[in-house]
Amino acid sequence: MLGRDNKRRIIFGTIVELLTARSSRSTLAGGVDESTQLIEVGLIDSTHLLDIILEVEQRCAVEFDPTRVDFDGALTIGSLVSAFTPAAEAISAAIAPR
Amino acid sequence: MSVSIIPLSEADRASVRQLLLRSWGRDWTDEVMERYFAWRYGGRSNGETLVACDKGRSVGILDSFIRPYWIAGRWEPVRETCDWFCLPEYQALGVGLHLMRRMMSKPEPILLLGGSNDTLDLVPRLKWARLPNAERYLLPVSTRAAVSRLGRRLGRYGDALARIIPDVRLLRRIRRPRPPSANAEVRTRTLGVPVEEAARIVAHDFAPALDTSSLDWLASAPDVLGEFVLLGFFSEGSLVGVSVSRLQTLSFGGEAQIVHMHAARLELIDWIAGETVQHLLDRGAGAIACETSCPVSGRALRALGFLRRRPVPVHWWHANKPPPSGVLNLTSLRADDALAFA
Repeated sequence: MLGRDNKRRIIFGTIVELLTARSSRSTLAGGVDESTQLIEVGLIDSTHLLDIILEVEQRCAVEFDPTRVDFDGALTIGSLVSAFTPAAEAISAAIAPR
Repeated sequence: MSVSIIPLSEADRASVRQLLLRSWGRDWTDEVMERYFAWRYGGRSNGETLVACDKGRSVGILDSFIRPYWIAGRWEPVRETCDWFCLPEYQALGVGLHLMRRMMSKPEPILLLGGSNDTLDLVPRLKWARLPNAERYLLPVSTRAAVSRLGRRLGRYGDALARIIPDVRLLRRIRRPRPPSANAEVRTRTLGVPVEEAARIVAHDFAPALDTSSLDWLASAPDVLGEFVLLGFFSEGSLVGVSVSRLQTLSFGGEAQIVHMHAARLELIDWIAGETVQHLLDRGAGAIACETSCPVSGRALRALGFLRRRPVPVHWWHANKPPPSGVLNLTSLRADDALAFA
Protein backbone atom coordinates (compact mmCIF):
# COMPACT_ATOMS: atom_id res chain seq x y z
CA MET A 1 0.00 0.00 0.00
CA LEU A 2 1.25 3.46 -0.85
CA GLY A 3 2.19 5.78 1.99
CA ARG A 4 0.59 9.18 2.37
CA ASP A 5 3.70 10.99 1.05
CA ASN A 6 3.92 8.72 -1.96
CA LYS A 7 0.26 9.25 -2.74
CA ARG A 8 0.72 12.98 -2.41
CA ARG A 9 3.67 12.90 -4.78
CA ILE A 10 1.68 10.90 -7.33
CA ILE A 11 -1.25 13.32 -7.16
CA PHE A 12 1.09 16.31 -7.50
CA GLY A 13 2.85 14.68 -10.46
CA THR A 14 -0.45 13.93 -12.16
CA ILE A 15 -1.65 17.51 -11.72
CA VAL A 16 1.58 18.89 -13.18
CA GLU A 17 1.40 16.45 -16.09
CA LEU A 18 -2.17 17.49 -16.86
CA LEU A 19 -1.32 21.15 -16.47
CA THR A 20 1.60 20.80 -18.84
CA ALA A 21 -0.58 19.09 -21.42
CA ARG A 22 -3.14 21.88 -21.28
CA SER A 23 -1.03 24.95 -20.82
CA SER A 24 1.34 26.87 -23.00
CA ARG A 25 2.38 29.17 -20.14
CA SER A 26 6.03 29.78 -19.54
CA THR A 27 5.52 29.31 -15.77
CA LEU A 28 5.29 25.59 -16.32
CA ALA A 29 8.48 25.50 -18.32
CA GLY A 30 10.20 27.18 -15.39
CA GLY A 31 8.86 24.53 -13.04
CA VAL A 32 6.09 24.45 -10.49
CA ASP A 33 5.98 23.17 -6.95
CA GLU A 34 3.33 22.84 -4.27
CA SER A 35 3.59 26.54 -3.42
CA THR A 36 2.73 27.63 -6.97
CA GLN A 37 -0.53 29.53 -6.95
CA LEU A 38 -3.29 28.31 -9.22
CA ILE A 39 -3.73 31.81 -10.59
CA GLU A 40 -0.10 31.73 -11.78
CA VAL A 41 -0.82 28.73 -13.98
CA GLY A 42 -4.09 30.16 -15.21
CA LEU A 43 -6.35 27.75 -13.40
CA ILE A 44 -8.60 29.93 -11.30
CA ASP A 45 -12.09 30.54 -12.72
CA SER A 46 -11.38 27.94 -15.34
CA THR A 47 -13.44 24.99 -16.40
CA HIS A 48 -10.12 23.24 -17.02
CA LEU A 49 -9.60 22.99 -13.29
CA LEU A 50 -12.70 20.83 -12.91
CA ASP A 51 -11.49 18.67 -15.80
CA ILE A 52 -8.15 18.24 -14.08
CA ILE A 53 -9.81 17.37 -10.77
CA LEU A 54 -11.91 14.67 -12.44
CA GLU A 55 -8.93 13.31 -14.32
CA VAL A 56 -6.79 13.10 -11.17
CA GLU A 57 -9.64 11.33 -9.38
CA GLN A 58 -9.84 8.73 -12.10
CA ARG A 59 -6.12 8.14 -12.46
CA CYS A 60 -5.23 8.13 -8.75
CA ALA A 61 -8.39 6.53 -7.23
CA VAL A 62 -9.00 9.56 -5.05
CA GLU A 63 -11.89 11.95 -4.58
CA PHE A 64 -11.66 15.71 -4.41
CA ASP A 65 -13.23 17.28 -1.33
CA PRO A 66 -13.55 21.07 -1.68
CA THR A 67 -14.52 21.39 2.00
CA ARG A 68 -10.81 20.78 2.72
CA VAL A 69 -9.73 23.79 0.66
CA ASP A 70 -9.04 27.05 2.49
CA PHE A 71 -10.66 29.69 0.28
CA ASP A 72 -9.25 32.51 2.39
CA GLY A 73 -5.61 32.01 1.49
CA ALA A 74 -4.00 31.96 -1.92
CA LEU A 75 -4.95 28.72 -3.64
CA THR A 76 -1.85 26.72 -4.42
CA ILE A 77 -1.24 23.41 -6.13
CA GLY A 78 -0.35 22.10 -2.65
CA SER A 79 -3.76 23.08 -1.25
CA LEU A 80 -5.35 21.34 -4.22
CA VAL A 81 -3.31 18.17 -3.56
CA SER A 82 -4.34 18.23 0.13
CA ALA A 83 -8.02 18.20 -0.81
CA PHE A 84 -7.79 14.83 -2.53
CA THR A 85 -8.70 11.93 -0.28
CA PRO A 86 -8.84 8.19 -0.95
CA ALA A 87 -12.17 7.52 -2.66
CA ALA A 88 -13.51 5.22 0.06
CA GLU A 89 -12.66 7.77 2.76
CA ALA A 90 -14.48 10.53 0.88
CA ILE A 91 -17.59 8.40 0.55
CA SER A 92 -17.58 7.57 4.26
CA ALA A 93 -17.29 11.26 5.13
CA ALA A 94 -20.16 12.11 2.82
CA ILE A 95 -22.57 9.61 4.33
CA ALA A 96 -21.53 10.03 7.95
CA PRO A 97 -24.37 11.40 10.12
CA ARG A 98 -23.97 15.08 10.86
CA MET B 1 -12.03 29.29 6.13
CA SER B 2 -13.31 26.46 4.01
CA VAL B 3 -16.61 25.68 2.39
CA SER B 4 -19.05 23.62 4.41
CA ILE B 5 -22.05 21.65 3.20
CA ILE B 6 -25.17 22.02 5.34
CA PRO B 7 -28.86 21.24 5.04
CA LEU B 8 -31.13 24.12 4.05
CA SER B 9 -32.61 24.21 7.56
CA GLU B 10 -29.23 25.38 8.89
CA ALA B 11 -28.49 27.90 6.13
CA ASP B 12 -29.14 31.62 6.16
CA ARG B 13 -32.39 31.90 4.21
CA ALA B 14 -31.76 35.41 2.88
CA SER B 15 -28.41 34.31 1.47
CA VAL B 16 -29.97 31.23 -0.14
CA ARG B 17 -32.71 33.37 -1.72
CA GLN B 18 -30.06 35.70 -3.12
CA LEU B 19 -28.18 32.77 -4.66
CA LEU B 20 -31.34 31.34 -6.18
CA LEU B 21 -32.40 34.69 -7.65
CA ARG B 22 -29.04 34.85 -9.37
CA SER B 23 -29.39 31.31 -10.63
CA TRP B 24 -32.92 31.86 -11.94
CA GLY B 25 -32.09 35.22 -13.49
CA ARG B 26 -35.18 36.87 -12.00
CA ASP B 27 -35.64 40.49 -11.04
CA TRP B 28 -38.44 39.74 -8.59
CA THR B 29 -39.29 41.98 -5.69
CA ASP B 30 -38.44 40.69 -2.20
CA GLU B 31 -42.11 40.00 -1.61
CA VAL B 32 -42.55 37.86 -4.74
CA MET B 33 -39.33 35.98 -4.04
CA GLU B 34 -40.26 35.34 -0.41
CA ARG B 35 -43.68 34.01 -1.39
CA TYR B 36 -42.18 31.82 -4.09
CA PHE B 37 -39.37 30.58 -1.85
CA ALA B 38 -41.80 29.78 0.98
CA TRP B 39 -43.85 27.61 -1.38
CA ARG B 40 -40.96 26.12 -3.32
CA TYR B 41 -38.75 25.18 -0.38
CA GLY B 42 -41.05 25.38 2.61
CA GLY B 43 -44.36 24.08 1.32
CA ARG B 44 -43.40 20.50 0.58
CA SER B 45 -42.51 17.56 2.72
CA ASN B 46 -40.62 15.32 0.31
CA GLY B 47 -37.50 17.33 -0.34
CA GLU B 48 -33.90 17.55 0.74
CA THR B 49 -31.69 20.53 -0.05
CA LEU B 50 -27.95 20.87 0.46
CA VAL B 51 -26.29 24.28 0.61
CA ALA B 52 -22.58 25.05 0.26
CA CYS B 53 -21.58 27.96 2.50
CA ASP B 54 -18.45 30.04 2.77
CA LYS B 55 -18.42 32.15 5.96
CA GLY B 56 -22.19 31.96 6.14
CA ARG B 57 -22.69 33.04 2.53
CA SER B 58 -24.47 30.56 0.28
CA VAL B 59 -22.23 29.77 -2.68
CA GLY B 60 -23.83 26.62 -4.02
CA ILE B 61 -27.08 24.70 -3.79
CA LEU B 62 -28.55 21.39 -4.86
CA ASP B 63 -32.17 20.58 -4.23
CA SER B 64 -33.95 17.26 -4.57
CA PHE B 65 -37.44 15.83 -4.39
CA ILE B 66 -38.02 12.27 -3.28
CA ARG B 67 -41.04 10.83 -5.00
CA PRO B 68 -42.44 7.30 -5.12
CA TYR B 69 -42.18 5.77 -8.59
CA TRP B 70 -43.71 2.69 -10.07
CA ILE B 71 -40.79 0.55 -11.17
CA ALA B 72 -41.87 -2.70 -12.84
CA GLY B 73 -45.02 -2.91 -10.73
CA ARG B 74 -43.48 -1.87 -7.39
CA TRP B 75 -43.33 1.44 -5.55
CA GLU B 76 -39.83 2.71 -4.91
CA PRO B 77 -38.58 6.14 -3.85
CA VAL B 78 -36.63 8.00 -6.52
CA ARG B 79 -34.75 11.24 -6.00
CA GLU B 80 -35.18 14.01 -8.56
CA THR B 81 -32.43 16.64 -8.40
CA CYS B 82 -32.97 20.28 -9.32
CA ASP B 83 -31.73 23.81 -8.67
CA TRP B 84 -28.12 22.71 -9.02
CA PHE B 85 -26.19 25.93 -8.98
CA CYS B 86 -22.83 27.14 -7.79
CA LEU B 87 -21.07 30.50 -8.05
CA PRO B 88 -18.47 30.26 -10.87
CA GLU B 89 -15.44 30.76 -8.62
CA TYR B 90 -16.54 27.80 -6.48
CA GLN B 91 -17.74 25.70 -9.41
CA ALA B 92 -14.20 25.54 -10.80
CA LEU B 93 -13.06 24.03 -7.50
CA GLY B 94 -15.61 21.26 -7.58
CA VAL B 95 -18.12 22.58 -5.03
CA GLY B 96 -21.09 21.81 -7.28
CA LEU B 97 -19.62 18.40 -8.01
CA HIS B 98 -19.26 17.75 -4.28
CA LEU B 99 -22.91 18.68 -3.66
CA MET B 100 -24.00 16.18 -6.29
CA ARG B 101 -21.74 13.50 -4.86
CA ARG B 102 -23.36 13.99 -1.47
CA MET B 103 -26.73 13.35 -3.12
CA MET B 104 -25.31 10.37 -5.02
CA SER B 105 -24.29 8.76 -1.73
CA LYS B 106 -27.95 8.65 -0.59
CA PRO B 107 -29.75 5.34 -0.97
CA GLU B 108 -32.33 6.37 -3.58
CA PRO B 109 -31.64 6.28 -7.31
CA ILE B 110 -31.49 9.73 -8.92
CA LEU B 111 -33.38 10.81 -12.01
CA LEU B 112 -32.34 13.83 -14.03
CA LEU B 113 -34.23 15.17 -17.02
CA GLY B 114 -32.49 17.83 -19.07
CA GLY B 115 -29.98 20.08 -17.38
CA SER B 116 -27.55 22.80 -18.41
CA ASN B 117 -24.66 22.13 -20.80
CA ASP B 118 -22.30 21.89 -17.81
CA THR B 119 -24.58 19.32 -16.16
CA LEU B 120 -24.89 17.25 -19.32
CA ASP B 121 -21.12 17.31 -19.72
CA LEU B 122 -20.53 16.22 -16.14
CA VAL B 123 -23.03 13.46 -15.40
CA PRO B 124 -21.68 10.88 -17.89
CA ARG B 125 -18.25 11.37 -16.29
CA LEU B 126 -19.82 10.50 -12.95
CA LYS B 127 -21.01 7.25 -14.58
CA TRP B 128 -24.69 8.10 -14.79
CA ALA B 129 -26.65 5.93 -17.22
CA ARG B 130 -28.52 7.41 -20.15
CA LEU B 131 -32.26 6.64 -20.43
CA PRO B 132 -34.40 7.18 -23.53
CA ASN B 133 -34.95 10.86 -24.26
CA ALA B 134 -38.08 12.71 -23.27
CA GLU B 135 -39.62 14.28 -26.37
CA ARG B 136 -40.81 17.87 -26.39
CA TYR B 137 -43.96 18.83 -28.23
CA LEU B 138 -45.64 22.11 -29.08
CA LEU B 139 -49.10 22.89 -30.40
CA PRO B 140 -49.21 26.45 -31.75
CA VAL B 141 -52.76 27.72 -31.32
CA SER B 142 -52.47 31.45 -31.97
CA THR B 143 -50.02 33.30 -34.22
CA ARG B 144 -48.76 35.51 -31.38
CA ALA B 145 -48.07 32.64 -29.02
CA ALA B 146 -46.42 30.65 -31.80
CA VAL B 147 -44.13 33.53 -32.77
CA SER B 148 -43.27 34.24 -29.15
CA ARG B 149 -42.51 30.56 -28.47
CA LEU B 150 -40.44 30.09 -31.60
CA GLY B 151 -38.76 33.46 -31.13
CA ARG B 152 -37.85 32.87 -27.48
CA ARG B 153 -34.26 32.44 -28.50
CA LEU B 154 -34.34 36.06 -29.60
CA GLY B 155 -35.11 37.07 -26.02
CA ARG B 156 -37.07 40.29 -25.71
CA TYR B 157 -37.02 40.73 -29.50
CA GLY B 158 -39.11 37.58 -29.86
CA ASP B 159 -41.62 39.03 -27.41
CA ALA B 160 -41.65 42.37 -29.21
CA LEU B 161 -42.23 40.60 -32.52
CA ALA B 162 -45.10 38.63 -30.99
CA ARG B 163 -46.75 41.84 -29.81
CA ILE B 164 -46.81 43.56 -33.19
CA ILE B 165 -48.19 40.75 -35.36
CA PRO B 166 -51.98 40.21 -35.64
CA ASP B 167 -53.22 37.57 -33.23
CA VAL B 168 -54.97 34.98 -35.37
CA ARG B 169 -56.38 31.90 -33.72
CA LEU B 170 -55.24 28.89 -35.71
CA LEU B 171 -57.20 26.27 -33.82
CA ARG B 172 -60.36 26.34 -31.72
CA ARG B 173 -61.43 22.73 -31.54
CA ILE B 174 -59.68 19.46 -32.13
CA ARG B 175 -61.10 16.16 -33.28
CA ARG B 176 -61.38 14.43 -29.94
CA PRO B 177 -60.71 10.70 -29.68
CA ARG B 178 -63.69 8.56 -28.66
CA PRO B 179 -64.16 8.06 -24.90
CA PRO B 180 -63.70 4.50 -23.59
CA SER B 181 -67.33 4.06 -22.49
CA ALA B 182 -70.74 5.70 -22.79
CA ASN B 183 -70.54 6.96 -19.20
CA ALA B 184 -66.96 8.25 -19.42
CA GLU B 185 -66.53 11.71 -17.94
CA VAL B 186 -63.89 14.30 -17.13
CA ARG B 187 -63.93 16.14 -13.77
CA THR B 188 -61.83 19.07 -12.65
CA ARG B 189 -60.15 18.42 -9.33
CA THR B 190 -59.90 21.23 -6.85
CA LEU B 191 -57.33 21.77 -4.13
CA GLY B 192 -57.68 19.42 -1.18
CA VAL B 193 -59.78 16.72 -2.84
CA PRO B 194 -57.99 13.43 -2.07
CA VAL B 195 -56.70 11.45 -5.04
CA GLU B 196 -55.65 8.28 -3.23
CA GLU B 197 -57.08 6.10 -5.99
CA ALA B 198 -54.78 7.86 -8.51
CA ALA B 199 -51.75 6.47 -6.72
CA ARG B 200 -52.78 2.95 -7.67
CA ILE B 201 -53.21 3.47 -11.38
CA VAL B 202 -50.30 2.90 -13.68
CA ALA B 203 -49.86 1.59 -17.19
CA HIS B 204 -46.14 2.19 -17.60
CA ASP B 205 -43.12 0.18 -16.49
CA PHE B 206 -41.62 3.30 -14.94
CA ALA B 207 -43.66 6.31 -13.88
CA PRO B 208 -44.10 8.65 -10.91
CA ALA B 209 -46.86 7.66 -8.50
CA LEU B 210 -49.37 10.44 -7.98
CA ASP B 211 -50.22 11.43 -4.44
CA THR B 212 -52.50 14.01 -2.87
CA SER B 213 -49.73 16.01 -1.20
CA SER B 214 -47.70 16.63 -4.35
CA LEU B 215 -50.82 17.56 -6.34
CA ASP B 216 -51.92 19.91 -3.56
CA TRP B 217 -48.45 21.41 -3.54
CA LEU B 218 -48.74 22.22 -7.25
CA ALA B 219 -52.29 23.51 -6.81
CA SER B 220 -51.10 25.99 -4.18
CA ALA B 221 -48.26 27.38 -6.33
CA PRO B 222 -47.83 31.17 -6.28
CA ASP B 223 -49.08 33.28 -9.18
CA VAL B 224 -45.68 33.54 -10.89
CA LEU B 225 -46.03 29.89 -11.91
CA GLY B 226 -49.57 30.28 -13.22
CA GLU B 227 -52.53 28.03 -12.41
CA PHE B 228 -52.35 24.25 -12.17
CA VAL B 229 -55.31 22.35 -13.57
CA LEU B 230 -55.93 18.75 -12.60
CA LEU B 231 -58.38 16.69 -14.63
CA GLY B 232 -59.67 13.31 -13.44
CA PHE B 233 -60.83 10.83 -16.10
CA PHE B 234 -63.59 8.39 -15.12
CA SER B 235 -65.01 5.39 -16.89
CA GLU B 236 -67.63 3.00 -15.48
CA GLY B 237 -67.47 5.03 -12.27
CA SER B 238 -63.75 4.47 -11.68
CA LEU B 239 -60.83 6.83 -11.99
CA VAL B 240 -58.80 5.65 -14.99
CA GLY B 241 -56.60 8.64 -15.69
CA VAL B 242 -55.30 11.98 -14.52
CA SER B 243 -53.77 14.92 -16.32
CA VAL B 244 -51.96 17.84 -14.72
CA SER B 245 -51.54 21.04 -16.73
CA ARG B 246 -50.36 24.57 -16.11
CA LEU B 247 -51.90 27.73 -17.51
CA GLN B 248 -50.06 31.01 -17.56
CA THR B 249 -51.04 34.45 -18.76
CA LEU B 250 -48.14 36.06 -20.56
CA SER B 251 -47.71 39.38 -22.32
CA PHE B 252 -49.01 37.95 -25.61
CA GLY B 253 -51.80 35.81 -24.15
CA GLY B 254 -52.29 32.45 -22.52
CA GLU B 255 -49.84 29.57 -22.67
CA ALA B 256 -50.34 26.05 -21.38
CA GLN B 257 -48.09 23.15 -20.49
CA ILE B 258 -49.31 19.60 -20.09
CA VAL B 259 -47.23 18.67 -17.06
CA HIS B 260 -48.23 15.02 -16.81
CA MET B 261 -50.65 12.45 -18.19
CA HIS B 262 -51.33 9.29 -16.25
CA ALA B 263 -53.49 6.37 -17.35
CA ALA B 264 -54.60 3.01 -16.04
CA ARG B 265 -54.19 1.56 -19.53
CA LEU B 266 -52.11 2.81 -22.44
CA GLU B 267 -55.10 2.75 -24.81
CA LEU B 268 -56.74 5.50 -22.71
CA ILE B 269 -53.99 8.02 -23.42
CA ASP B 270 -55.50 9.23 -26.74
CA TRP B 271 -58.71 10.16 -24.92
CA ILE B 272 -56.90 11.76 -21.98
CA ALA B 273 -54.66 13.80 -24.29
CA GLY B 274 -57.57 14.93 -26.48
CA GLU B 275 -59.76 16.03 -23.56
CA THR B 276 -56.86 17.80 -21.86
CA VAL B 277 -55.94 19.71 -24.99
CA GLN B 278 -59.55 20.74 -25.61
CA HIS B 279 -59.88 21.90 -22.00
CA LEU B 280 -56.76 24.06 -22.39
CA LEU B 281 -58.03 25.48 -25.71
CA ASP B 282 -61.33 26.35 -24.03
CA ARG B 283 -59.38 28.12 -21.29
CA GLY B 284 -57.69 30.33 -23.92
CA ALA B 285 -54.26 28.71 -24.35
CA GLY B 286 -52.41 30.27 -27.29
CA ALA B 287 -49.82 27.49 -27.32
CA ILE B 288 -49.63 24.13 -25.57
CA ALA B 289 -46.35 22.46 -24.73
CA CYS B 290 -45.67 18.98 -23.40
CA GLU B 291 -42.63 16.91 -22.51
CA THR B 292 -42.90 13.14 -22.33
CA SER B 293 -40.80 10.03 -22.76
CA CYS B 294 -43.89 7.88 -23.33
CA PRO B 295 -44.12 6.90 -27.02
CA VAL B 296 -47.89 6.36 -26.75
CA SER B 297 -48.38 9.90 -25.41
CA GLY B 298 -46.09 11.16 -28.18
CA ARG B 299 -48.21 9.47 -30.86
CA ALA B 300 -51.40 10.86 -29.30
CA LEU B 301 -49.99 14.40 -29.26
CA ARG B 302 -48.74 14.19 -32.85
CA ALA B 303 -52.18 12.97 -33.95
CA LEU B 304 -53.63 16.13 -32.36
CA GLY B 305 -51.30 18.35 -34.39
CA PHE B 306 -48.40 18.82 -31.97
CA LEU B 307 -44.97 19.49 -33.49
CA ARG B 308 -41.97 17.59 -32.20
CA ARG B 309 -39.12 19.74 -30.92
CA ARG B 310 -35.60 19.04 -29.70
CA PRO B 311 -35.66 16.15 -27.20
CA VAL B 312 -34.51 16.30 -23.59
CA PRO B 313 -31.79 13.87 -22.42
CA VAL B 314 -32.58 11.76 -19.37
CA HIS B 315 -30.02 10.33 -16.95
CA TRP B 316 -30.18 7.84 -14.09
CA TRP B 317 -27.84 7.25 -11.21
CA HIS B 318 -27.58 4.41 -8.77
CA ALA B 319 -24.46 2.59 -7.65
CA ASN B 320 -26.08 -0.85 -7.94
CA LYS B 321 -29.60 -0.68 -9.36
CA PRO B 322 -29.74 -1.01 -13.13
CA PRO B 323 -31.59 1.74 -15.01
CA PRO B 324 -35.31 1.13 -15.59
CA SER B 325 -36.44 -0.37 -18.86
CA GLY B 326 -39.72 -0.81 -20.72
CA VAL B 327 -42.19 2.01 -21.36
CA LEU B 328 -41.13 5.03 -19.32
CA ASN B 329 -43.50 7.86 -18.46
CA LEU B 330 -41.19 10.73 -17.61
CA THR B 331 -42.74 14.16 -17.90
CA SER B 332 -42.50 17.61 -16.35
CA LEU B 333 -44.01 16.20 -13.15
CA ARG B 334 -40.73 16.16 -11.33
CA ALA B 335 -38.47 18.41 -9.39
CA ASP B 336 -39.83 21.84 -9.99
CA ASP B 337 -37.24 23.39 -12.27
CA ALA B 338 -38.99 21.41 -14.99
CA LEU B 339 -41.72 24.00 -14.54
CA ALA B 340 -39.65 26.83 -15.91
CA PHE B 341 -40.73 30.43 -15.58
CA ALA B 342 -41.92 31.97 -18.81
